[in-house]
Amino acid sequence: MRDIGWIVLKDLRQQVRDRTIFIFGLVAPLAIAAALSLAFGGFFQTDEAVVFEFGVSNADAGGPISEAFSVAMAELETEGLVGITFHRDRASLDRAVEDGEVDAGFFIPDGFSQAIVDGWDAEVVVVASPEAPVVAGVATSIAEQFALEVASASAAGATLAILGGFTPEQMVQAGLTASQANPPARVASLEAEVRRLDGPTYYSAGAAMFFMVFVVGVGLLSLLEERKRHTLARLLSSPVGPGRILAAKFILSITVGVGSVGLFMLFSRFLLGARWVDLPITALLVVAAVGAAAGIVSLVAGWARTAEQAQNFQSVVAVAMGILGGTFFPIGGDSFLATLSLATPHAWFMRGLGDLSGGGGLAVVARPLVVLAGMAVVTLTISVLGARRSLRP
Amino acid sequence: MNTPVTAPAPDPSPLVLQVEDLHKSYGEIHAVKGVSFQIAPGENYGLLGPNGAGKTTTIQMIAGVLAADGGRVTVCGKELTTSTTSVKSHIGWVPQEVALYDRLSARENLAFFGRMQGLSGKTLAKRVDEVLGLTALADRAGDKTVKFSGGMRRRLNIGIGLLHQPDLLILDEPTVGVDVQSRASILDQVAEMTSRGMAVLYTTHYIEEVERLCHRVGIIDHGTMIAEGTRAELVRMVGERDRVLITADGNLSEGADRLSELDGVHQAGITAEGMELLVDDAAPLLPRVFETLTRSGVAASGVRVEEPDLEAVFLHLTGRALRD
Repeated sequence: MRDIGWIVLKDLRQQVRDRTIFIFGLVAPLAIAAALSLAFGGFFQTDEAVVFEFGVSNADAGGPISEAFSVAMAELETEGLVGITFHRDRASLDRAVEDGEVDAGFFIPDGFSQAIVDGWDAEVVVVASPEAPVVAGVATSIAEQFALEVASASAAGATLAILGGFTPEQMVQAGLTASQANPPARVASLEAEVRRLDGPTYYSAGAAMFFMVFVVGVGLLSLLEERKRHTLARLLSSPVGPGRILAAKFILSITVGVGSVGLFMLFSRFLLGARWVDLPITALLVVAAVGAAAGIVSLVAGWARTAEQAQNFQSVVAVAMGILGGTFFPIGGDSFLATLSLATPHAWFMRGLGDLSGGGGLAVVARPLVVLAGMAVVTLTISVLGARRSLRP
Repeated sequence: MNTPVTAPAPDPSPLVLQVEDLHKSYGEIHAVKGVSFQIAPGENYGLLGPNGAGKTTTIQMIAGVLAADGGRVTVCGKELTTSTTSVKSHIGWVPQEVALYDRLSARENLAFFGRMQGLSGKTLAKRVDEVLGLTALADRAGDKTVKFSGGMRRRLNIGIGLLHQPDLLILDEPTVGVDVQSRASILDQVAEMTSRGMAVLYTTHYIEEVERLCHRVGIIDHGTMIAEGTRAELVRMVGERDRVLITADGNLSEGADRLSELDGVHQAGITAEGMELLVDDAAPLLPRVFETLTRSGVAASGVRVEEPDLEAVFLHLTGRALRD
């Protein structure tokens, strides 16, 4: 096993001396993340003068909790944070959204308050257009924040005091923070929580993932480079087995990928203000995402006959997966593109970080983590088998 | 005339390398067709053949880099395949192309490949220093190899093959692109290694290197070993004659006709510079040749007699020049 370590160390030394890896692993993602944060970070900020028009229809008239929601929304309007219009029924609200009179709406069904008091699930319906994912995200988050407050208050036995710890600013902040959310039709449970990344963190995570794909191809590329420079033949003539050479190259990919993302996260924390929470779980997500990306890149680039060809393949994969995976712009809703994005490790990585941002630890990121690990195992296994054909002089 | 020539019996001492009926195909191309030969300890064996003859493919199979389709390679009594890693430590392979890491220094290259051969600690450090001295690169040990001249890179390329003091050193065209001084140094080193008991398998385009260094020579063409033996045996086996090259002017046609009638002259032809003769033994015949030329009205201004060499042998066996 020691020879594997020596090969990895030798390759790392060469990569460090080449310096290209710092450009792709650190400089470029920092520049892109900073630029995107400056250009589009407004959607994530609370100090931007964004005022959305919301409609409210309360079929639970007289219910203490639904009344509290209406009062809270009216208070938001008073403070100039949102515009509010009240509608007599659901049909009127739907029409207003459809006609564009309001950006989104909230419908509180009949029996809403009583259901909560009795301990049953109840729902606030968010009405929004799928074509307006940002405002839908804001509305959803306001509803979720309200649900969270109700859930907390219920647990404390103080259902009617829910507004005590719930300021209008908090509601809007939560909503604006989540502007990249899916445009859901409804909030299904009052236990829903706000799980969204802020602007700098979102774009830092996206840039890290996008450029990491360029970096993780280093193992396969160095194998092709060794073949070109005849050092592979020399290695094959030594007592080191071909399997160990291959293992070293894949370990190199994972090491460089994890190292560059880790370094980038450190720099983005201080330079861009990105917030990386629960570092051990975040590290697990990074390792799984790097493994999946390395596997996919190796799988595609493995078809190449030369290092140059492999680099071209790698670039195509990086750009396609970066856009599809929502690293630059959120892909929300129930669209075909949103479903397709789940085929990329990028989407699952971003989702995992988003889930983690609301707290909850390993349990809340289990699904993204398992999907990423599964992608890594499957693609790496296939690419290792395929890469054996590269082990010839 | 590609009839295989029977090789002389090898040294009865334990063999370092035994190659038996080696085969390799690339699709429809049968690159190596049943090559067999043996090398004893301290023996320097030259493998001669034109480009595309199958030399490098044969050598890569012997080095355990390329899997053979058929046949057997035994090194120090152990069978070698691409996956039998322990046997490979007996072999030092110097590939035809310079195989170095440009961004590593000479010392780092040596240390890395030494570790791949299982060397470590003080043994590794000692051998690295020795090889740096042997290749005259000690004063440039810390420089990245990308800054090295072609000759320095070649010397380091060879040094890596010597690092672990192998029983069998395989040198594939080691002096290509090397300056005259470095080449002489390399040839001296190879001769010294052989004298210390290391077996050497040597391929080169330079006939004079094979004639100077190699105890036995195998000639390979179209993937087949067409002749094998010592230099003298090979020359004798094909019965090569002396070539007499005459720089001359005048009635060349009549001169050629008259010369071809002389005893001991097998062929007389006209060339751009004069005439070329094929004779059994040039020395006693030359006075009669010049007398005949004078009588024919041919003025000779120079003469050169060429002894038969391995190139002539190859030409004789295949009808082609070695460097075609």
